[in-house]
Amino acid sequence: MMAIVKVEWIRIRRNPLNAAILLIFAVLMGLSAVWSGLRASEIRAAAAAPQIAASAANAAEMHDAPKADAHDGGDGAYAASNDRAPLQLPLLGGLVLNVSQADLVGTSIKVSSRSRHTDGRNSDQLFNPLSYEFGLLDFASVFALLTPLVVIALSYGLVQEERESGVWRLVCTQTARPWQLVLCSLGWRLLLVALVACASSLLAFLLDSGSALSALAYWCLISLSYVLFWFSLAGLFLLLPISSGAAAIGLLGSWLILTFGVPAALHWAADQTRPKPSRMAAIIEIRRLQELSNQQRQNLLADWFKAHPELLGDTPLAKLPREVAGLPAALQLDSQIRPLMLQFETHRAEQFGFMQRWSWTSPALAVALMADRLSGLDAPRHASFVAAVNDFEDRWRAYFVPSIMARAAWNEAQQAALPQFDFDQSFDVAELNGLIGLQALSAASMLAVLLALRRRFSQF
Amino acid sequence: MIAIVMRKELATTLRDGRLLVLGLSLFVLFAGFFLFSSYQLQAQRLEKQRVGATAKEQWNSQSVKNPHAAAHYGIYVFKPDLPSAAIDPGLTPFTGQSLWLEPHKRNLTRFNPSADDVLANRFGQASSSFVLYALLPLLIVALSFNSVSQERERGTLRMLHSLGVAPRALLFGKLLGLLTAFWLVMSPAVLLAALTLAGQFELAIDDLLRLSLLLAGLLAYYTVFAALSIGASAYFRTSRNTLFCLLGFWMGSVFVAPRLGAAIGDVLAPNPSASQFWDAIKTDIAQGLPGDGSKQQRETAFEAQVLAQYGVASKEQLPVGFVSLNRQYNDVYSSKVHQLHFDRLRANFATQQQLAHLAGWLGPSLALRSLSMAIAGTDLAHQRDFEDAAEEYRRYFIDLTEDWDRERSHGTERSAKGAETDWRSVRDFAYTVPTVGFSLKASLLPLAVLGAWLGAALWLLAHSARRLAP
Repeated sequence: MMAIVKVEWIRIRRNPLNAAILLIFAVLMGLSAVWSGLRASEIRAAAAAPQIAASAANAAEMHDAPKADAHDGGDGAYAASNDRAPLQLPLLGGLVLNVSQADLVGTSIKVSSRSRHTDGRNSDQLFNPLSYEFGLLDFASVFALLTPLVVIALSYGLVQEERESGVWRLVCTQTARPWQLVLCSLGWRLLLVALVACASSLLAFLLDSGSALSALAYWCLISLSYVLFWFSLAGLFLLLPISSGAAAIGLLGSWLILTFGVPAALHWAADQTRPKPSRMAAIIEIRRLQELSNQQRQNLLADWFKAHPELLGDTPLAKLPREVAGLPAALQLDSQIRPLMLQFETHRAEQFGFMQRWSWTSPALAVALMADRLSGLDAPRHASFVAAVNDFEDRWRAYFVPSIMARAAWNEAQQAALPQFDFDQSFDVAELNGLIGLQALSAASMLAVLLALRRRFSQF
Repeated sequence: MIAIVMRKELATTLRDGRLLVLGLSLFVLFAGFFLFSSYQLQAQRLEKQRVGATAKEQWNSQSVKNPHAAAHYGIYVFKPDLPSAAIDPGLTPFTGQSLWLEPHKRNLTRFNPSADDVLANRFGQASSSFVLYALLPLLIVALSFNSVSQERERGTLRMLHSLGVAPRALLFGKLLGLLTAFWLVMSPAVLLAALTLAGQFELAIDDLLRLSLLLAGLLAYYTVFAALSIGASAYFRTSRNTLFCLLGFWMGSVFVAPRLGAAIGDVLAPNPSASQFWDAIKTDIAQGLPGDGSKQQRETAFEAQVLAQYGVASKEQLPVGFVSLNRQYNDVYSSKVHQLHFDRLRANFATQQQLAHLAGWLGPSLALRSLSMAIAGTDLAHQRDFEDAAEEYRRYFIDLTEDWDRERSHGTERSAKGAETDWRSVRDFAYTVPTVGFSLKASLLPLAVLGAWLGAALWLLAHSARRLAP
């Protein structure tokens, strides 16, 4: 057995094509690792830097803003309520796997006493859509796309070519277990590909200033399962009595189906199970609510002060400043808009859950979802973050609204006692284990089938 | 001689089992994706039209209120899609679906479909364009990787050589035969696309021109792959090496080059963050652009100018509404600053696009994708054109509301009111997608790259012919 292992190593080493394939793989993974690692560090540095707390509203918009001398002490409660730095979604230790998602999904939300939902400056990120259409060098995506192709290039036709040239017949007469040769050959290739994958992963994580060892460990586990799955599948194709060219085409077809076809089908199925809400319908509903709110403005103001008469003082309702007079209507409007916007987060989280349950059908999908989980940018966590932001927004407003409505002065003691935002920063270990478990099971099943059928390698 | 070889190659390819199996599979895949995306496009178009009309009607039916308050209600506009977007949705998943037009500021489009999706096209869009630029070249490789090497392995190449068949005639005959067989097999797909588009959309001459150009671009693209495949088959001694190299080229062209190109653009011409972008606009409005003075200074000068113009001593004595005048003055400046920053941002996007083509040496797919998006009207240039038209419309209806406010108030009072007749008098936003000439102008670089690849592929094929040994 050891002799077979040694000979197979010599065969691999002496074929310049194998070296070329592995070198190209290593270079591309290395490039991706460097780009992803540096980009992840950049994103973390930007998130950690002092954020611009002031509202993005420009001076032209502030024509009706409260004047400084309209309030006791200069900076009133209203200005203070709009002066909170954006709330940040804490990024986890695996961000390097998935950096471009940070721009797409949005990790920063600004809250204030005004509704944040209709102004894109409060939460939307800025990116070039063309970069996303072409796809960037996200480490997990590059790994998921390239690895099967490398496996195919290294292993297709290993047996078929020897069968076609008649060498395999000779091999089968020389040994009772020709499958040992095949498995050794595949084993060496698996080891080399896994080495390149792990080395480039280590490089990526080292370059990311905020990476975590636990994230790297989880990532290595799932990438090893991924590599094992593809080598097992390649091994099964070696059993087929077809030409090496046909085997290559067949493996490529499998790659296309498992990497592109199955995720697309799952996405479609998820949409059929629960159709995606329409942004355009939401826009129409928001506008209807805005007009209604505008018509009810005076009534809502009167009702608010009926409930809080002690805060009105001697000022007639008609003489109240704009930011006070419009606040009850703005709060009611926001309470109606919020569930409309939250449904998109909920839908995304449900879609993620659906796809995760079926991720065993597409290893590439499992890798992408794992990268999302490890980076902290997965849909369920984002939905939880938005829910936490909403909750904080309610506390923020509960803290400020009485002072704003009372036109009270704002002091340092109040500033020091501001509500704090806290969001759970840890991995969802159960979900990570579930994902890895599914993928490992999928790879192990494929390997088990290959091992069960190994004696068929004796057929020539 | 070329014609004879071409006919023989055509017959051989059509009889090849691979063509039947793979061609049929890809036809089914293309048909599935295309029918789905054309249905989706039609549904999307109808929804945009309906929602656009509803949003405008909501604007029209606003209650009696101050014209500026009405302006703040805003108008939503939506970018119309061309029928060819059913073939290549391009940037649509990553650009916002809606644009809100309101006073004082210019917005970016919001709610890109990918942000609402889990996978967000991480492995590429599941669309008919993916079949066209990624899978069909693979079919060509699968059909032709052993077109010469197999003849060499079987010994028939030696026989052809002994019969005096010129290598150039052989290889170019194989190229033409392969392409003819390929297009014969693809013709049902082309027919399906044409009939579906004609049935679901009203195709204008411009649309037909676009589709023809797309077909021509695809012909050039597939010719590159076919020429390189046959040339590689002639060059390499074994089919295995040929297949390996061609698959490597295909992978590099289709998957690596676009990603590498995007990363090059991102590194060499980084975009500002959202907070940096908006903060810069806010600062420039407050502090003024170089030589313009701060907002306070500009307002003071404007007030003095207005008082002098109307020959009054104070704002309260003005026969028109000063609040509206002042606001409009500030809005003009705000628009100027926004225009400057938006132009800079979009120029940076365009620079990133140009830089991305540095990776075009890896393969022609990057160039074809850029060309295809431009022809389908789903590229950056078309998005910018739409946004500029929307911005012009925004200034029109904001100016109109300010005119009403100014004319119906006096001095510093704010008693102007508008009613439904005013809101209805605002014309609808009517945007026409530019003609195909605009698309071609925006695609000069990808056209050049694709042309260079075509020339290089044909030259390599001729070079392989010169070196062909039985």
